[in-house]
Amino acid sequence: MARTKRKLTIVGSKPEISPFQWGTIIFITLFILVPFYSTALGGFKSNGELRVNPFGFPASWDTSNFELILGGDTFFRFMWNSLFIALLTVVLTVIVAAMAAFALSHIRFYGRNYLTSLFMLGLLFPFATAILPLFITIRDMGILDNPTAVILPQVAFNLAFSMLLFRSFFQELPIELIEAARMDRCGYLRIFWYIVLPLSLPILTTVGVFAFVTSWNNFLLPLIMLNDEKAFPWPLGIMQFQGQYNTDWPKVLAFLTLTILPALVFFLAAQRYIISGLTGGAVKG
Amino acid sequence: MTQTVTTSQDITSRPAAATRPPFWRQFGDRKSWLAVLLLVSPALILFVTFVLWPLFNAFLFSFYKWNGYGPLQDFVGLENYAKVVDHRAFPLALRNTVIIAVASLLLQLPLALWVALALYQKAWFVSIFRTIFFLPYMLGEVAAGLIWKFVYDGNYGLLPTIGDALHTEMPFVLADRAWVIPAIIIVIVWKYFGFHMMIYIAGLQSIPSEVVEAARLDGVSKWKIMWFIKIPMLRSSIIISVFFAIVGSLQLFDIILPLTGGGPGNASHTLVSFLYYFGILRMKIGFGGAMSVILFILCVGVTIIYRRLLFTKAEA
Amino acid sequence: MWVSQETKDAIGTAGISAFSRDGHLYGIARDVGEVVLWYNKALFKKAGVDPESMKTWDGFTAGIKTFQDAGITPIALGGKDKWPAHFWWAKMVVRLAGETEFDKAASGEASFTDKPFVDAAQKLYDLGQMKPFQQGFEAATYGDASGMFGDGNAAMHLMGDWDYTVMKDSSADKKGFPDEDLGILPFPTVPGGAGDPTDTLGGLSGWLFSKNASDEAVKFMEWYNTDVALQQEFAAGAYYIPIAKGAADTMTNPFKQQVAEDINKAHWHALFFDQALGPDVGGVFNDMSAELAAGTISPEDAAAELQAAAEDAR
Repeated sequence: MARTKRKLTIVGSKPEISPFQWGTIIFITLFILVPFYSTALGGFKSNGELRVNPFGFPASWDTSNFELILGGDTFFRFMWNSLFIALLTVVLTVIVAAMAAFALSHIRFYGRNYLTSLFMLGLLFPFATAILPLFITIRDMGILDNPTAVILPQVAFNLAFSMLLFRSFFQELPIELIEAARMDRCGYLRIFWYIVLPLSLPILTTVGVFAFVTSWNNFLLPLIMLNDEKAFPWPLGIMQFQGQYNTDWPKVLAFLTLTILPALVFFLAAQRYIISGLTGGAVKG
Repeated sequence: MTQTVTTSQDITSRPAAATRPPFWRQFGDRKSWLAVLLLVSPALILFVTFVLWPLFNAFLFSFYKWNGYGPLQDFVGLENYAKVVDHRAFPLALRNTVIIAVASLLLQLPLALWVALALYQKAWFVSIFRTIFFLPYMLGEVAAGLIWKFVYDGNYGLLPTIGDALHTEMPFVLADRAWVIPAIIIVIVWKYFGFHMMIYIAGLQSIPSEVVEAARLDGVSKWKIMWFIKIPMLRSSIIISVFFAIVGSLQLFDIILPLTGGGPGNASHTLVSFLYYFGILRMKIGFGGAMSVILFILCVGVTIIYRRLLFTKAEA
Repeated sequence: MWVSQETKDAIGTAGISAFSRDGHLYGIARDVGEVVLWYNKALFKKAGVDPESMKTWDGFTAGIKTFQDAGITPIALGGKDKWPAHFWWAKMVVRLAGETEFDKAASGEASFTDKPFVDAAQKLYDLGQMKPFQQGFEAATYGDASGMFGDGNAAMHLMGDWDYTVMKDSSADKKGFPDEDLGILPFPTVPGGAGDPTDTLGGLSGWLFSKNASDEAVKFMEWYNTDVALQQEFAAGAYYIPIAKGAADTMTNPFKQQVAEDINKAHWHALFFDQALGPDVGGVFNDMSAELAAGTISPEDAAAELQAAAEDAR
């Protein structure tokens, strides 16, 4: 992605923002931040106070909701389950997609183009379309309620996009390097491991972050595959928590704040990779 | 929003294949084949098992009446498709999906473009605003849905308080057939507007500065530069953003479930929530299979049109 | 599976038939639940509604008007979850169709589009037209409705006996209103209904045995479920309402006692329709109930949808 960044040129010297645009920007800023702000503060209020004073600071900073959530083990279990699923998804996506993409871009073999096209079919449709038969497949494999029931389909549905990013990156690696290694009778596996991977750190990070974010936020797949509360990642956990406390909004808001916070910190740190992953194709086009 | 697309032409590009020797002379040694086998087979196995095989099954199941257990033997032809189309909630789900797609196109994209035009140049405060606008996109859909369920809550939420301040009684928007879809559209704009803005910013930043500078020196007005230079040069960004908005609407589910669960009644079902409630939860595999196929055809149709549009540009 | 006659006697016909298919017994019932019309005595007093007047359908609808005039929400309903709405239609079916008609329709001998089912749907539709439910009830979950009732913001709530604890937990102060203000109304009777006035609607749960269950396991469960002393302890702790005859006697909670009594007297203890009819037809029953309550479907169409689902499932 460093390559595309260099291409970006800055038009004009100073941003020219008209008053009307400023108005829009301020309005949208409020529109975006107010729900976050009231959520964060709501956890410290009582239901009664929430009703009369949703925007202001709480009369007294009541931390009992946060203590209740952090004192129990369900919150941490939900977060751990999400983390576990996301990390395994990242590792598998990166390794499996990079291996295949390398073979498809640097080894010439019969059927290579057909195979590439086959994988690219995965770009055509979202996994929601196949969720029902996917459930049957997973059930018949006997891995319902197991994290692998979420991890493996996630990796499979990540492949097309990840391979695409990898392939276009690998194709721009200096071909002389690989041919020189071939001359030295170096096998493809060694080339992949010792030459290609170390050179591909930026794209590995982009694909990894992308896989992490989609896995962390995935809802439909765990919803279908996991019934056992012990295996729930946070999106299922928070739905259950909300179902349990219903209109006890301060508790729900405290739970929301606690789940959102670590994710937002990570995502802000990794924002660059998320944007480059999602608009990667766009910038190139 | 996990749909992924690209604009590059990898599917069709076959770099200089014609000039190469036949395959058995291209590194056709046994070692290469072994390497290919080792490198590609994990991806291939996963892809076939969890992507292609379920997709094939969706087609297969859609012609059978099946509750998910026992042999697949009750062939019913196109009956499941008829049942999907005749279902009480299907027209609503389809209508909502179309309304949401159109509203995203008409509201979200112009807004995103308008803001991107203001924020694509570098300045310290610009990156702060960009980050704020992109914040909801990084948030999980379920969290976004619950935050807005709170905002809209008729008893404890922000909306009734705003109503009190204005001395009007706000409707319970999530229980109101007229308000529920506008309410969902607002959440979608909140959640995804920043993503579209980023696409436009990336597009605007790749416009060569000389073009704009030259026009400016010729005394072309700012509005004309925007309308006749910047926006036309954003063609591919706009196509991408339109595509994401449409495919996003087609697969909208994660926000609906925490927010309304398809209610009141069936008033806020989307195609995927329809599939979930009436196909998956009730284990009507054939019915769900038919719905999956319909969804698949819609997605593939949109994707093919999108690729056509991009390629005509690329070739021009 | 073989169990002794004594066990069968102790559990009662309702408990045995619920776990039998085609003459085979597959499990043993442990406890029962009943859907009852909870009401808030304080709100009745405030609005000036006499609980006695609510025993018939006409009195019931008149009472709802009085509540509305007094600015009190008559009924809490968790419409988003749909199954709470199903209680209303199901209770009406229990009243109007009765056991024989229901069994016939469920097995395909008769149709859900027959008069008693449509009439029952009409009753729920008419009730919905009076707008007796809280504002925004279609977006309210069971928990929302239960909390609303527990907070003393609605006069009635048609819900299972388990709501006794849930309404307190869901209320804002986790205590709810005091027990002396809580009461159970008999579900209003409808003149001309084929159902027996004693008929109840509710749940039944227990243990299912797998094909390979050992005799010892069955024996153990027989003892466990019918040992009066043991089950009395569970009952006294208000864990659940045991099905074994006599075991409920030790229950000190008056509400649970009344429910146990109701079911004991019941000629027919109808299993929740959404369970009795299976996930598919039952799901449609729930959908249609919610739509009837909201007034978005006609009673005839609702019955036709239900019948179509029942035929499809066969």
